[in-house]
Amino acid sequence: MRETAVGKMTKPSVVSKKKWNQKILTPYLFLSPFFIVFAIFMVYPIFESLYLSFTSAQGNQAEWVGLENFKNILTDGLFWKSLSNVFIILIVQVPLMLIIGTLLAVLLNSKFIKGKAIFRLFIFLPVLIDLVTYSIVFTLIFNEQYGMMNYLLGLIHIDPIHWFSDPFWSKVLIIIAVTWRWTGYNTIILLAGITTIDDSLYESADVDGANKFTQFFKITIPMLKPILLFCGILSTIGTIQLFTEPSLLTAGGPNNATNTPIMYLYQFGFQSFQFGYASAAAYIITIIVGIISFFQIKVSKGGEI
Amino acid sequence: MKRLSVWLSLLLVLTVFLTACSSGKDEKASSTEGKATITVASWNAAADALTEQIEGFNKKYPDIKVEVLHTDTGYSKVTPALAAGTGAPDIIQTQARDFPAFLQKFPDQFVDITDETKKYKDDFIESSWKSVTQDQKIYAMPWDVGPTALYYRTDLFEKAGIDVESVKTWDDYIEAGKKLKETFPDTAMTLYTDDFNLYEIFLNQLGGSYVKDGKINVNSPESEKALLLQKKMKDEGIAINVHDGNGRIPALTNDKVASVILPVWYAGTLSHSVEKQAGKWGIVPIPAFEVGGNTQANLGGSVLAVSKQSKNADAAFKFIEYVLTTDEGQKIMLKYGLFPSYTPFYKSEAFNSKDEYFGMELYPFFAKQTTTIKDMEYGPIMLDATKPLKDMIDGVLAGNDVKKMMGTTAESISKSTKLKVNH
Repeated sequence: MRETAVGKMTKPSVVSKKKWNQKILTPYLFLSPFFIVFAIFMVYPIFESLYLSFTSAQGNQAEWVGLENFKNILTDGLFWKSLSNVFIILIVQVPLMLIIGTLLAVLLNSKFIKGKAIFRLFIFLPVLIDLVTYSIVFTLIFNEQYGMMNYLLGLIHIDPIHWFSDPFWSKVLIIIAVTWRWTGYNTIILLAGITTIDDSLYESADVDGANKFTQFFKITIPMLKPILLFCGILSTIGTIQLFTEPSLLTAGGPNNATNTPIMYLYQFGFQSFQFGYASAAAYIITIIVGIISFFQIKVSKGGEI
Repeated sequence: MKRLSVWLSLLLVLTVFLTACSSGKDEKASSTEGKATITVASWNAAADALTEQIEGFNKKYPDIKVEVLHTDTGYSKVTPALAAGTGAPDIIQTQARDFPAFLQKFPDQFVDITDETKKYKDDFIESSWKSVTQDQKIYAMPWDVGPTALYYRTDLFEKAGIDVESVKTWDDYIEAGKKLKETFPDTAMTLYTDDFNLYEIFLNQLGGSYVKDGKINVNSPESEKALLLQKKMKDEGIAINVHDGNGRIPALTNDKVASVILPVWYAGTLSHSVEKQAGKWGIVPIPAFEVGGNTQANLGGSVLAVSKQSKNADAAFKFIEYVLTTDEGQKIMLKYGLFPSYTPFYKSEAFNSKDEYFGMELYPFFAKQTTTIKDMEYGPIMLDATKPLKDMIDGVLAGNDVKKMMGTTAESISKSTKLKVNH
């Protein structure tokens, strides 16, 4: 009896060691390929660029300069101009896109529309088109001298618009381009949100005699709040990081009217190879994005319904 | 058993990972044994020209294998390798004006070829050595130059009653542009793009420099004159902004522009992209700032440098030597519109043949436009100065004070290059 009792005493501890290997270690081993890749290509660059942002890294030389890069960026008028550009674009574009997106999502969800799948496809299609391709098509459509858009405006007796050489209209052009491309993406997310709203809410509203508009504002919008917040934050971050459209459509012009912070850091990083300066700019932009997202969540109370 | 399998799978993951990392190295080692392989980083037409050179080069050097790496003009494939100190191509093309900046930002990355190039000293246009030389040492071989001319539509000029011979100065040119408008209200005399090409042409024509005595010089009187001329052209309505190279073609195709001020390399673009207008274009030297003044200017041009990371630096130089200092090599370059700075080639038959599109001996004409091109000092600032220079021109054209714009531009270049400003 005693023997077995001892055996019983020791056996569980062996099992637990084995179990530790199996239960704790094994999952990490399976995850390790991801973590190794993640560490090399994500974690390392994040910390390396943090280090670089405190150096004068230029080409293949670097010297520690402390906060000089941050000071130079924050006193550079061009940086503030690029930041104000994206905020102007942001304030107009994100609400505009979310309104259009919500309306389209409601329409797509309506029971009266036939061939919904086709419409969904068409609305989502711009997202699938390559950024570069659509930017080039837009430069042709909006060309000031021979573009289709100015031709069409001419038909209704509107003078040709200087889409590329007027600071105001070039921003409008960027807003049109970004809205064209990203509305469909938000529509699909919002549509997914709408389909999760319980039909019984609408039924009881019908019974109470609420019309469609009241239903839209009192049921659909409040129920969509978390989704709208999600889309809003994603679009805000996306707009602050705007690069491809202004880079290809307007090259940041005219006179920096459509220059963006990412174009600003790209120019220093990859045109003049001032890697330290560009890294510092990247960290400043990241901090700004973080602050804005924080306030968005605060103001909307985390998207609680 | 289970424990063993766990360790085995970990081992597997590691081996896959390590072999993936090291396979690149093995390839290189094996290729250096028998045949030497060299890679050349180049862009657009220049890269196409180099690709076509390989066949002829291999007849002479069958043991050297050449690969052309197509890059963008922004050097984004080359610079990470130069910064990292590993993985750079053997031969690197840069714009002539950018090369001094490369030497400064990436010191010890380019092979000193002073001795190898000594014998070619007199064979190249003198001013082309300037940007490849640092402290009397030569780090790259000059490739092409961009003598500039006035390309004009003979038919439009004739109908508008403009005699190109009478356009001696830029003021005459602007007046001619107004006269052109009387006959063709929708046609502008010339065009410009969202860069500083036109400014650089004027600046070089005036003998100005970006950097003088090691100090930033974009606020010089020459610079002011160049800026004011471009502004006047815009304000008088004789020059339109087409934004970029892609904007030029529709403007020309639709007869919206009657002349362009561009270097020799635009001849090729015209004959390829605006084929229909064959025989309608004439070429003359650019107008001068004052009667009898300089009518020559350079814009563009590239160099080829050997990377210090190259394991076959000798083979790499042999390739550069073949493509740039032989008639066979330069003949192919010319086919791609790259005008040689290697002058012995000017005597060859290929160089002196008649061009069908323009109906004239194109290259001998441009060779004559290289004789009084003024030396231009770019200094090591051009990679940092691109954006500020663009902004300066944008600002001046938008109506801002010229002196103020030049001042802020000089300061902003000074901030990123740590060079002093000339006052």
